[in-house]
Amino acid sequence: MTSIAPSAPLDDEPHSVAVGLGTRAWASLRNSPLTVIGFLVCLGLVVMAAFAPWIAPFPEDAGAVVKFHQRLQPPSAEHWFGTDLVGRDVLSRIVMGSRISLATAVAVIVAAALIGVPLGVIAAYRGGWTGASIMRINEVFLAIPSLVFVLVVTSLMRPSLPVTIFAIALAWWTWYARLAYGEVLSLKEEQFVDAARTSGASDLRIAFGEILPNLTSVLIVKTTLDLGYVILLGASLGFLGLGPQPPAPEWGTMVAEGREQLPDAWWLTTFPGLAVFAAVVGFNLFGDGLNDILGGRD
Amino acid sequence: MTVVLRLDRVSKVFGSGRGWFGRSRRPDVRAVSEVSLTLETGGRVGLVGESGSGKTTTARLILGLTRASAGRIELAGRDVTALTPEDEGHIHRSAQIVFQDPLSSLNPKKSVQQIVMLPLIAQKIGTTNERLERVKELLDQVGLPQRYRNSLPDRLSGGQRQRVGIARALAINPQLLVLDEPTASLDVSVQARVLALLDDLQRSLGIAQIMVSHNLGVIRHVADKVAVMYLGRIVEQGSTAQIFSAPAHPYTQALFSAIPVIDPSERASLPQRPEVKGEVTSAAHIPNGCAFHPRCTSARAECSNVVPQLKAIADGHQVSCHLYP
Repeated sequence: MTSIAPSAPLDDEPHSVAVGLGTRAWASLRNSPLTVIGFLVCLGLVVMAAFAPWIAPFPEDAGAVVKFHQRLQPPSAEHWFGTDLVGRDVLSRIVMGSRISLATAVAVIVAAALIGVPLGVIAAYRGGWTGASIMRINEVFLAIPSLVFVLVVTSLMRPSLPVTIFAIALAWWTWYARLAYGEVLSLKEEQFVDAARTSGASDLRIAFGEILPNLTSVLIVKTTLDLGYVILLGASLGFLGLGPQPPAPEWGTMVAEGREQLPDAWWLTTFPGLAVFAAVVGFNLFGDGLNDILGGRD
Repeated sequence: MTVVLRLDRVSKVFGSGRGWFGRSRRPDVRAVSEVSLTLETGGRVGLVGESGSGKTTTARLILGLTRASAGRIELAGRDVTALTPEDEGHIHRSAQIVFQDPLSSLNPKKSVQQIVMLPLIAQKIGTTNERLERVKELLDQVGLPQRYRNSLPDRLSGGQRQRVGIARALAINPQLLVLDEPTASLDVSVQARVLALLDDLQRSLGIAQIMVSHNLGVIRHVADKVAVMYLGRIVEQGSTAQIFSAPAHPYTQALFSAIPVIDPSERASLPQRPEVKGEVTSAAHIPNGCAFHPRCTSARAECSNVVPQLKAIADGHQVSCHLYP
């Protein structure tokens, strides 16, 4: 075997000055303060959830505590967001509640992606009857608005956090299946798929070893955006009484509980509502920014 | 000389199938019609033709990426026409391809090392250490510095990418290398280096090569036999010297006259320009008789009725044209 002398002049040099992900990320962030805001909100939420018992001024207020001597106090230096009907600190409950919202959202999305992505990949890669069947089932799920779907599922079971997660995931996998389906449909026409095939790679290896890694960017963007939407849907369920039951400090449940005290005790609904708002907007802005950084499409 | 590849009257029809209620949705497309080709160890065949002439489909048939509608394909001593899983395994162990677009043919999420190693992993060849060693050897062989081993394809230049593609194709020591316009998307100076590399590999490893191209200059450089395709059929084949010095088929002659020249005096060294009328006919509506007759200035009555067969006009030089009785 001969080898070409490595000292021989080498083709053209790489044409474009290689722009690393870090450089691109920095440039995007500088041009888009909204992404930074989104990122900070998300970071704050995660930190809040992770260290909730240490951040909340009265962590015990998350449970069934009763402090009647300080019930329905408006926001003050001691209770920034006021106190509720039985005297619990609203700020503490919101901080503790972030754990529920975030855990729900993460669990839902992990479950939805684990169900949806493989199904979408298989449907697009195999095509034919397999693909058509998967996508038709997908469309049946898609035809029912997710809130209605989740309402039906939860009302058939006893409302609790696992049930909420299960119900939302069951409604949400369709989006992941469709996303993966569309991406794989175009990726499988790339020549590297033919190259893998002539290399002798099995269908399983091509679909999940070669094609799937090319979905990471879109999946990262999608999951980030979805974290916000799932938090919103979870709160909606809580509001309708189909989420985690009181005394759990679920944000939607808190809004529902405080609703009867409007307009006098406005802080009972406003602050949990704002928490939901901040989470949704935060994940949305951050997701959009990620989309730009990772070179995704609009 | 052992025969590495034998195509015997191979055809490929892309059927649209039957629509609902048994109606045909679209006319069938005859991409390749009765192509016969033989290639021996160390031989290099150039497959020439314009877009839609069926040369890429022929390449895909050889590699088992699509199933032949008729005919017989024999690769490295085995009839692989049926394309059973065993046949596919045999094809993957014997033939590899280098694609036209080096970027699209390299997985953007995989490093050079992962890409070159894929055939070894997929075919369970060697241990991890042996594979790493082999990758190193292959990169030396194609002249890509080892420092690019962990680079992603988008960090490489066009020529470097094509070297990765060639290294991948060589990984399993194939007996046949299919080159699908391997230089078409490269700068001219880079083209020359990639062609030199292919020359070198052919000399040192003796791998049979099929070069699919519409670039006659490239074909002349690399091939010792040439087959000219028009609308799915081989209209002329022979040694490179025969085809280039005495092109017989009016279509081949027309192809030569289409070679751009810088100095008009060079034109004189090329065969005379016969006129070609009209556009390339679509493979979905192949004319009766000789497929080339609507564009041929020498067409006679029989050309529109009778399909000409390949006939020898000299030793090893065959042409399918009614002008040669």
